[in-house]
Amino acid sequence: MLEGILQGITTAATPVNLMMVFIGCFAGTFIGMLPGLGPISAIALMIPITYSFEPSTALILMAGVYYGAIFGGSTSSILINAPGVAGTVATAFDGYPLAKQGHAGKALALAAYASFSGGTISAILLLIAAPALASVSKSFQSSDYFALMIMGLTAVSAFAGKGKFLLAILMTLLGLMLSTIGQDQTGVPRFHFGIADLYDGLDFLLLAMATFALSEALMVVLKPQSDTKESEAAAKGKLGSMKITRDEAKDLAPTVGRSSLLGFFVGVLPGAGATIASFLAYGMERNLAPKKEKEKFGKGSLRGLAAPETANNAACSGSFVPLLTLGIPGSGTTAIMLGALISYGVQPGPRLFVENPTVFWSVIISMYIGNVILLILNLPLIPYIARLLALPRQILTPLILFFSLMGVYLLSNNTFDIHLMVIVAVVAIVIRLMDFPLAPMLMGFILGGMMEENFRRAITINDESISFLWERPITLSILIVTILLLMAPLIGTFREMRAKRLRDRLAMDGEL
Amino acid sequence: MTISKEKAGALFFLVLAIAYGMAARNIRLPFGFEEELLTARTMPLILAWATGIVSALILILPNKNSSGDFIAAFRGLNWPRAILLIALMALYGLVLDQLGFLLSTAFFLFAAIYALGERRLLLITGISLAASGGTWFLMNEVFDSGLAKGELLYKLGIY
Amino acid sequence: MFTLSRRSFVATMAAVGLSATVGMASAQAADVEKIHFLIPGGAGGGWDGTARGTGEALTKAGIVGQASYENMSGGGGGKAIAHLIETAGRQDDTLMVNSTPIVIRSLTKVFPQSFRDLTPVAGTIGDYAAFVVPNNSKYQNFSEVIADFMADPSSVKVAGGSARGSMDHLVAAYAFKAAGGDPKKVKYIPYDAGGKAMAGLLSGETSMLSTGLSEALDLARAGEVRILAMTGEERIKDAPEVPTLKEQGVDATFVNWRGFFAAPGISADKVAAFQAALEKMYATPEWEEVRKRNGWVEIYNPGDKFVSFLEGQEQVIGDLMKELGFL
Repeated sequence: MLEGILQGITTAATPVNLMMVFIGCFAGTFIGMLPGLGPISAIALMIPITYSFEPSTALILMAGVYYGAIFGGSTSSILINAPGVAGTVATAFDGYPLAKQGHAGKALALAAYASFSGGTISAILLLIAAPALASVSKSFQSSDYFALMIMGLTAVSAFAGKGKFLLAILMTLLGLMLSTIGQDQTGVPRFHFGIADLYDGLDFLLLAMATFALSEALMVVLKPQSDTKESEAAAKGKLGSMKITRDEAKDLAPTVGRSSLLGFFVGVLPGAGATIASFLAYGMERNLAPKKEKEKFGKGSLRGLAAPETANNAACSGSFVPLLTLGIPGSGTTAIMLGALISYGVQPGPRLFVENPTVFWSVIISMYIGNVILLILNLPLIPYIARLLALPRQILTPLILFFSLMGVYLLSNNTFDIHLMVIVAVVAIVIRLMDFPLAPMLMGFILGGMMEENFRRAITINDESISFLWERPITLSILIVTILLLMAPLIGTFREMRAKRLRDRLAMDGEL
Repeated sequence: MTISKEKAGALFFLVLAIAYGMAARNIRLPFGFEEELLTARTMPLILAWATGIVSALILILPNKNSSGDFIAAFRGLNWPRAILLIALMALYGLVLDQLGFLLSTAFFLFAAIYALGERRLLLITGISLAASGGTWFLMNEVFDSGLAKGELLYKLGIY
Repeated sequence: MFTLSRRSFVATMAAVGLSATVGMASAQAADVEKIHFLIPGGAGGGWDGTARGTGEALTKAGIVGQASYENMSGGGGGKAIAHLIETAGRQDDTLMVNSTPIVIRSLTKVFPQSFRDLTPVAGTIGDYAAFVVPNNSKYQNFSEVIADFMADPSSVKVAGGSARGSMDHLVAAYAFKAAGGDPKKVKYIPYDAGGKAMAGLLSGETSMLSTGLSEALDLARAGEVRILAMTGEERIKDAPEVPTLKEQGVDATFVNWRGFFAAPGISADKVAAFQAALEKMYATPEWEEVRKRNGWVEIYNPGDKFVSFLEGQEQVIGDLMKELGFL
């Protein structure tokens, strides 16, 4: 194995290949920032160019493009609240508030560092355990995914501010309801109101773009006071410091570690992926955070930004486990990658590791090099990218509206999507004015569809019985963890109470 | 009398739950699927009930952390401008197929920037043309995926 | 949703890269001056790959002077069909790509039109269906699956990458019906993508996967699964080791075709020109390159033959869907 790794390093580190990573990262970042173009289109664009390359060179180029595109997506999430990629929707939760407060530079830098750390930790995990992890990819069944989705939904409390718990639940339910629009897995069309365009259901990115980017841009117009204040800040070119202080780094390290592990393992599961990973990581960090930090979530918490950014990158690396070792693509992006691999004559599967170790290891190592280059490339670029915010409001707002509409329209060429986005944006504005939290709705939407699907599948497979809930070890353990997570805050309160009582008693003792 | 945002919202959700639940009961199941344990209706019905119960709870329970009056939340805002932008977007969606991507996009951006108070016409024209032309070039030339050319333009014999 | 074959992604993108050369090839005299491909789905789908791959071969071989593409998704393909009919008067150069779902979706009334409202030009390529089991499965041939199904239908759980009532399900039901079983009793487990259905199969929660042959061959090459049977009339030359259902005593054949339709009311000469161009394409090395890259099976099926094939398929699928309770 060590031999293979060394050989992989020698392959990946030739000047030509290093240049390819560089070009790939640059092109990927650029494409990822454009509306409607995520890693799928970025990689797809590269494939024909790479036909004449060595397989490992081609793969290295694509790894760069892949990471670059995801980072590009985070950039638009942070700067204008318009997630260009589903995996970076959760990045906007805290990234955009940070940018609004004048910390755009810091937010972008943190996103770059977090992605890098997530990439590094998961690359190490890949190196040690990729072949062994194949069995994890293979062992998850529908009932286990169902339990995982339930666990994810409990994270909804993460979005609930003080006294807003029930409101967060309502919004999650709204998201779940929206996920039932369209044909279900038994082919029954639901809630389509006779509109053929709703048969395939709502698109997650459409929902996210309309509720976040469109409604935010319109809110700025609605509230003229905040408008002037912000444009003043922006006019001064207030990038804010890009520095992460040592204390902050120390504070964020555990978050990054946890999110990397979580993201990686979720990525390894073919039925989950980067979006779910980012949401789960966000929820987990919120639940684990101390009370004071908890309140900052959604308002510009550094932890809240680091967690999803780390997790989505780690999940992307994790998704290479089923792709390379089993030949199973877990997402649209890995599906394209699989097509590309096959067209280079590389057949992923359990034998790839044995028969073609050089390719196997150079893929993994070049992905890591992609990560490093991305950091080197992007940190100096951040001030220029953030300059976008310095555009005057009356020009920036229309461009954001256009950018968001195009992000969805260009994928479908269907003007129905534009109208749908406008309707969703109007509803979102009303919801925001009512102070109901929007993030739980997206969470309910993304987890809800998968929850129903997997539950119904599990029931059918188990011959109409729900015994799998306690008979399957994985399902049962996830559910137990879920219950513990739900009880954790209670235990915390209980401890606090006991500590207080103890302190009181001590104080009394002291008096005596 | 003032209604708090929470209660007003909960009332809206209660209505939504009832409407959604009724629509869920009307989902047409294929013949012979009704006897199955879980059908296409099951999850929607559970959701309708859950939403109904939670919103009723909010309505009944005393509201300790009210974030203010419902009506006041909609006051003092620049509605005309926002509505103008919303209308422009809707109009953009309507005319896109007819006028074609290039024209309608340039028109939309021009109108939106002008509506927000920018008066340097040359600048507005430049930005609108650059954004619509750039996207057009990217999609048509680089991605080779034809954007709408415009039905109306065809009928007028322009292309 | 139509199934996205990852091979077609590659084809699409190959076509994208070559777009720059497309315009230049028109210098010498071509058989057909230009073709405008109308694609009823978004970029990157199966239809998209077919249209762009075909266009690439036609223009590079000099058979067609110029090819352009237009993606128009919406309404399960219905939007593009309606558009083609509405603007038929000026769609003389347009070919719309479509496939088996046009038959299924007009039966289930996703859209009100059917292939009869268009001018069928030709079926050009196809893919057979295949049944796949994990390496460690107890099943060695399809007859053993049938035996188990006859004894206890719910013991055979068939996975597929699309909703109940769509192609993967129908094909499985059709095969069991042809073997003498009750198609209604087939336990079909739907997943939302082929890759996820495959993961489900490997996790052991389902016993067999129903999918397209080209995808099945990729999976088999990855080394985790075996192909029990495919639905062709006879074995194909690209994969001679895969037996047909027919030779295992199940008289069921099925092909998921892809082909092209022109606007209604188009002149017979124009249709003939399209057909001639497509037929000529098969012999060119440019086509062979595209075909091989995508693992497509050639099934040339022009004009009246195509219509009667479509009618036959509509009959078989319609009967089956009625029996299953979908119609």
